[in-house]
Amino acid sequence: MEVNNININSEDSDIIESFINGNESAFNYLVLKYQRKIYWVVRKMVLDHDDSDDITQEVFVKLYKSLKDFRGESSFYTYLYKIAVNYSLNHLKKQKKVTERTKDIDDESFRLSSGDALQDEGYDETIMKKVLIEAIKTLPEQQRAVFNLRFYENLSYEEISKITKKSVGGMKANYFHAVKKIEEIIRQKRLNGTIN
Amino acid sequence: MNKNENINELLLNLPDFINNKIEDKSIIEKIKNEIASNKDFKILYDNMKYSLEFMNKTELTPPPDYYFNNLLPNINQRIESGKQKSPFVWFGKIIPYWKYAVPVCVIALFFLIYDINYTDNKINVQQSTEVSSTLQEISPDSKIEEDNSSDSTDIALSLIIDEDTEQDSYTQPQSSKSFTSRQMRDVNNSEKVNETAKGLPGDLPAVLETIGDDDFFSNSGDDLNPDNDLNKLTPEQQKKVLNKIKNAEF
Repeated sequence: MEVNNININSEDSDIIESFINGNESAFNYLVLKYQRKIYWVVRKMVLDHDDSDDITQEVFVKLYKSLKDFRGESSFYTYLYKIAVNYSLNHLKKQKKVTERTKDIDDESFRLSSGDALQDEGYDETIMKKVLIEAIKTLPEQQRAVFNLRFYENLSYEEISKITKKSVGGMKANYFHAVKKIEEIIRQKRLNGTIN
Repeated sequence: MNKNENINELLLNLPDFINNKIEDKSIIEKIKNEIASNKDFKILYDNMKYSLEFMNKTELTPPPDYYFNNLLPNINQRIESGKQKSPFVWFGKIIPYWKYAVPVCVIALFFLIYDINYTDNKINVQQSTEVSSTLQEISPDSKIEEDNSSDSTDIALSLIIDEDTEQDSYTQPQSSKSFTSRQMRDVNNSEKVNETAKGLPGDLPAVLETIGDDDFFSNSGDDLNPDNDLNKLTPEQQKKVLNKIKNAEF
């Protein structure tokens, strides 16, 4: 029985086929296989853990609903990344509207994640995280998505182009501008003496 | 110009060069040459390299260990709760469109009401115009024709009035309504007949009275033909009337 042979190490296409054929538990293997990757893709875009948790769950719920329509035109992880990036971008756009209204520039993520960290970790490490978050926050949504997918996920520009539905050249330019902005922030911090 | 384009091309590839993600050896060679020859390019390269290394080695605080153990049950719970809510999912989906749907419906309703009123007014105006044009077509030579045309105007106007008040009239007896309009016409016509009869000699007014108002001024098309009225009289009366007319001096 093919259904019984499915496990977390099976090929994506086999797991998906099993799910489409009625094996609902096959979906669980997809979640277990990709949950960490998706969580971190989302987390590096939205920065806050609670938001990332909520979005990650939404991404997999969306996957569950749409998996039967997956035709395999692109690779499965590209398809899944696309959902994750779109949900993250939507969240950032909503957050931007809220921030513009309240002018709240408080670093929620930093507060939540480093509240205990100040006690547990070294001061320098905490400062570095703060700078990292600040650097990512300076990036517009689109550049943030491209930077994460290229820098952390090692996706090709062609794959990023499929996810964002933008041109390859545009993605390359977006990545360069993202790196340039991060470089400017970090250079300032070095000049200030915030980091070495 | 060409050199600037080349430098721009190299700049776009610089982050990938730093992370060893470029496969094209010619581009790698060009970037190396530029770093060696161009001081500004070298500074940018050093700063970018430092920043990307910084980004690479600095990590966000990871979630607690149990987080990923609970994620799958949480997702399944959310899927199940979504299934339970499914009968109302369609309602949730149309909520974003309400802001467009409501004004469109209001505008459509407005135009519908306006169109109905406009059509009603147009019909009334059209009927009035038709009546006016009919009146203009009627020759003013004959007094009886004038009388009839004014009579037909009354009928046309009463039709318009009747249409406007049609719904109200359903509650009233039909005979009383027709009696009222007919009575009004008869009163007008009697006055005109009396005026006309005053100009006639001898017993003609008396003879005319014997014919009866209702018959003489009935609304049928025969009214305009005097032969028809003459035929209604007895042969004795006909002779009498003809003799009177022959002997009459106008």
